[in-house]
Amino acid sequence: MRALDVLDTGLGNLRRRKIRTVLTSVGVWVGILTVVTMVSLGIGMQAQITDIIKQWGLETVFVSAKVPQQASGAFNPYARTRPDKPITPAIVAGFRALPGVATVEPLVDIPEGLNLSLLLAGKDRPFVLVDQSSREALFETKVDITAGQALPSGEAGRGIVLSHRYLSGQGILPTAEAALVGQQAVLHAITPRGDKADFPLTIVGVDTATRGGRIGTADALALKQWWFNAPDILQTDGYAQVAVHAQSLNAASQVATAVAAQGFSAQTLQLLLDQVNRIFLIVETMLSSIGVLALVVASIGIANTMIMAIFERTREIGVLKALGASNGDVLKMFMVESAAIGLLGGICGVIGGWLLSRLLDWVIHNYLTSIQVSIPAPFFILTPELIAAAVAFATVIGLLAGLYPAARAARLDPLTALRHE
Amino acid sequence: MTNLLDRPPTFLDLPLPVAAPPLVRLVDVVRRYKMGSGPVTAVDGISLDIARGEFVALMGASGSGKSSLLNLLGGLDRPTSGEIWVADLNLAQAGKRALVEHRRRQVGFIFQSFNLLLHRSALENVELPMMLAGVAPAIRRARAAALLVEVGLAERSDHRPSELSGGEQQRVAIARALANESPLLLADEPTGNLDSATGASVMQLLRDLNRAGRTLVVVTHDPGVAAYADRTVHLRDGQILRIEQQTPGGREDGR
Repeated sequence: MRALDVLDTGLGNLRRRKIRTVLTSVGVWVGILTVVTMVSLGIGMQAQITDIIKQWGLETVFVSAKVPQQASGAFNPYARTRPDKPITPAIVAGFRALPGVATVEPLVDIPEGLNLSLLLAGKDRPFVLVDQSSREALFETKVDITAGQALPSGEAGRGIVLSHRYLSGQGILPTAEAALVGQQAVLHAITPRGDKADFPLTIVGVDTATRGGRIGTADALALKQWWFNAPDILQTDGYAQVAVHAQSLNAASQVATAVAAQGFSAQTLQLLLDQVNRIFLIVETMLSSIGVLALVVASIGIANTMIMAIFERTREIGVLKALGASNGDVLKMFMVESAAIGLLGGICGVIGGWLLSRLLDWVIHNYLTSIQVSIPAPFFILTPELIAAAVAFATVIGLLAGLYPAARAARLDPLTALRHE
Repeated sequence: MTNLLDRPPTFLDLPLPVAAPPLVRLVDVVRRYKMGSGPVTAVDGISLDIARGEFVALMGASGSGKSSLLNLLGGLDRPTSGEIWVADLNLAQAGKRALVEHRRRQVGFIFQSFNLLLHRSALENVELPMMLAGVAPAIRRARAAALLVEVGLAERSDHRPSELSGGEQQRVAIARALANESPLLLADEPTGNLDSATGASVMQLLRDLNRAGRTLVVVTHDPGVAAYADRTVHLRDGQILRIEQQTPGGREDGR
């Protein structure tokens, strides 16, 4: 029998039972829809995080001081946990002298529990200061400068960059943003005890960050010195975090080794990226196993439908065998049928998964916009590889489900089959 | 060679009176089935030759083994012992693949209940054996159409079996049996589901096909059907009771 005739016969049999075919394939498309949605979410999230990490450059090494074990878990905003070996300015200078290092950017954390407001354009306004050394700030999606310049880097960096989102929340029109650059703003800091201090800052620029604004390392240091009343805090506590940019990826790992040898914790972004990828692989597997469960159930449905179809067509199988159909011909005919059910389910599932991910993307973006968080990139990414794999997987599910029924049909004794009513 | 042709013919030049090898040769064929109540011997030591171009009727009461014999000839079943030669193949020893080829190329089945595929048109039903044999679509379509013309159903080729009368359905089934030009036609009660007038016309058609050179084995319990045959083999309890050679005068078509 020709392959095309096998295909035509199998598909013809499906066309004769349209409703049953569609109903049977529903199980597959629900499963594939779930898998496609979940995996595309995983791919989307992974792409975002990878993108953020790559912005920093994989040649960046993050250095932080090691904090004594017993103190690291306790949370107390008024007492600071002193590291055994702080990253003092002298040590930063040492980092700069390491071979392969391009730039070194020390970061100072903002004390928690501060009540801040900002005198801006003649009005005192509530304000959120983003901690430059926090993970949130480090891994924010790509931030663009819309007016003025970026914050000057390095220990001596001074000034404030405000987010466009904060300004528009304060009723300052986008057209007025450019005029703000170069003006003075005053940061009012109030401790819970009522101590107050003013920090005059020059507005350096406006950016697309999610909220509030950021200040230069020198200004952050001044804030911290005042809060802890410790002018020598850099000598005792050191910097919260130092971003060491190496000249190359190879240099980065050498720098990381050298820094670790000095007794600091050093993390390269490559390491972090590997961890992120591993985590996402686990998450994707877990999420899509829900879909796989649906597919297992669907394959039982296909097998059931095929067994029914073969029972109904027993006599027909007998006639075909009497007319010269081989066992292989019968097997192939039924395998085509069950594979086609899987394929149909796979195609519907991919289309359904695409629609669902578009919908969820839209819902999430609307929600994030409503809470003033803007992440422009899509959360769901449907790659051609994913589409192809999903459709192929669905077809294989159909084939596997049809294997037993089709083998049973192929082995039918023609005489018994011909006597079947 | 030229010498031979130059001299006047003598009796030496006539064909030797040695019979051509038979198309079918059964040698001591036995078929036992295991039934719930113990083994049943459906065919019990039958030996029979059927010549190429012969029309043989197998007659007997139900349970006489005539249908079992037909199924054995068609390669749908295998004997418990004995030899079944069709052309150059011993069906008792043949492999699966060879049996499939036998069903495709050597035999054409005609059933009592027609056994047409209900969702296919008359034309597609006739195409079926050729499709299974791997004949290209254009060729088999043309041949199926020609066969439907031959059995007198040219205008009905697009009709489904449900739209055809019993006689028409059996004609489609006969056309289907002819599709792969099988030399041996096997018919199991071909007129069993037809009224006598329709049955007679179907038998006429089979008779004509036999005259055109096809070997025909018909299972029947109807003496009227058997009367079309050259030879009637009477069976009882799986054994040959007697073989009746029809005299040319006794034939209904008066050949």
